[in-house]
Amino acid sequence: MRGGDLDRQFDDFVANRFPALYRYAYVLTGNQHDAEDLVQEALTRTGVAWGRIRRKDDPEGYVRTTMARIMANRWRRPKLEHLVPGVPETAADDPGLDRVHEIDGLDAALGSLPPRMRAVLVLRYFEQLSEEETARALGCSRGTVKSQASRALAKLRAGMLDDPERALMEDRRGRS
Amino acid sequence: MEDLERLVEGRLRALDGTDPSEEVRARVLGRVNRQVAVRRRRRRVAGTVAGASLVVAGGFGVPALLPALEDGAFNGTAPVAIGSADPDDDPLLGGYDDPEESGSPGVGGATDGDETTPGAAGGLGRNLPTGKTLSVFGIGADGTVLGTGVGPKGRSDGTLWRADLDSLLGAPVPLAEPKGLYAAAGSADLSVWPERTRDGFQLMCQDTAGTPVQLGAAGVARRASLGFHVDQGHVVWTDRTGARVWSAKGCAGKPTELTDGYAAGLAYPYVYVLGDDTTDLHRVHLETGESEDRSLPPVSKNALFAAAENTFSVADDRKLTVYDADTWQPHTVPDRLPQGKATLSAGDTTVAYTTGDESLLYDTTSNTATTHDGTAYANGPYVLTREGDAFTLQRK
Repeated sequence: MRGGDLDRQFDDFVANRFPALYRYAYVLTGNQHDAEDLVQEALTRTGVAWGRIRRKDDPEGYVRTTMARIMANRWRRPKLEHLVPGVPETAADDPGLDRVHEIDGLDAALGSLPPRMRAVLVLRYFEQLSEEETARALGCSRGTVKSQASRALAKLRAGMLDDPERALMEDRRGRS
Repeated sequence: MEDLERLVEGRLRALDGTDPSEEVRARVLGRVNRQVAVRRRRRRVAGTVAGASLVVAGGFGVPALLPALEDGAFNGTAPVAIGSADPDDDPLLGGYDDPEESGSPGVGGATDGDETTPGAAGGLGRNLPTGKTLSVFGIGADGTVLGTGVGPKGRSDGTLWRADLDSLLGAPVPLAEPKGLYAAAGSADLSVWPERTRDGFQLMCQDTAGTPVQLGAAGVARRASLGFHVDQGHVVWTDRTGARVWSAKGCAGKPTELTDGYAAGLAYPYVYVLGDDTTDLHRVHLETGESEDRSLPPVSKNALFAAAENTFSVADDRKLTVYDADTWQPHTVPDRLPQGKATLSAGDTTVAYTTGDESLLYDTTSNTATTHDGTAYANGPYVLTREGDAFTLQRK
């Protein structure tokens, strides 16, 4: 395939899949600014390497994996930066999500997780990947995934309400 | 699945509903297109031997030997790091340097240089005897360029090279081969660089006498923007413990402990000193020791600083704020700074923020910002920019 065709192919892919890729970046980062940066960097790398990408049948998976790896390996938020997470308006009319939002501290705790831990959580619980698949996606060992997920959940427990049991109770009530 | 895991899943799914606005889409895709073009061009250049030349504007009509710095880092007179250069072949594997992982200060980056073939029109060969090409750390206030030799894969030759305006017709001069070289600052008469020793990094200084001497024994902090600075023959630095600021007049001057804190910039005679609390900034007169409070809003640990005669600039969270040095009136530049590891430098009328691929140049006289593809550095009256394969050194 010639260069011009490849460029058009990449442009079409980006034009069609940008919203989904941006949403995934948002899940990974939890805020708009970092999501923009993340999807930009991942698409740039993909665009540069487009001619050599083997997984042409699944370029979106390729970009998503790239984002997860960038997030897990490189993405470090300055400690003093305090970005305020917010439930997107589009989800606000979902009663179940309202309940999630009501659980004080979970958003903040998620937002304060180190990027690698957050990436592991996204792959495990959002993507529903197994530990083995998560390890393969992030290029690390299964043990690392296991320990990162465990530590992340421990941090979330500690970072939620003063009384995390109350949050869990609320959630149980919401689902019953 | 535990309750908490279900909560996390639900929260993450809630975030999945955030579609980008048209504005975000246009902004991001515009940057992607530009970055892809820039990086592809860089790959082509790195894979060949490209001609490059320095165009010296403002009365310096001499050919030069400056490299096309890709992501080179220099913070005015501040130290910066050199890291790996090209994006990896597989985008999954890299291309986004993390200074913490590389062990270098918070800025810096790729430094693959272009090459100038001997006798190329308007240029001069800049192949170094080491087989590498010269990649600059940045410019001094007198237009002097300090750099190191870097190969196509970002491997340094470990040599500090200097080219000043007077010697642009000649070859770069090797100054030293310090262990762990990651930065340098100075002028034609005085060069300063860190060198790794058994006691950590020590600051080395070389003047026209030609023999490098160590400045004190307290070492130097390996921190971007907060390590060491040179201006008008004076050197200030943060010691290795990161708690005290030292100064010395020239290489022969006895190092003097100036104050506690971190040296965030030097625009002689003023040293900008940051306290442990990043909102706590002082402007200290180097000769009298007189200190004036200059508060800052909270900044991150990755914030970059640059001092100039009339301004003090802070780049953080992709925002650039330029303070009037006397009135401390802040001006926040509305343009968002380019993404990526960056370098901030400041000259008399220009503040330059560069990621190597993209730069933002802010004119402090007109309060206008312009973007630029390629590198840009400012110091004193000089602004160095690269466009394509050619550097331009302008005297403003």
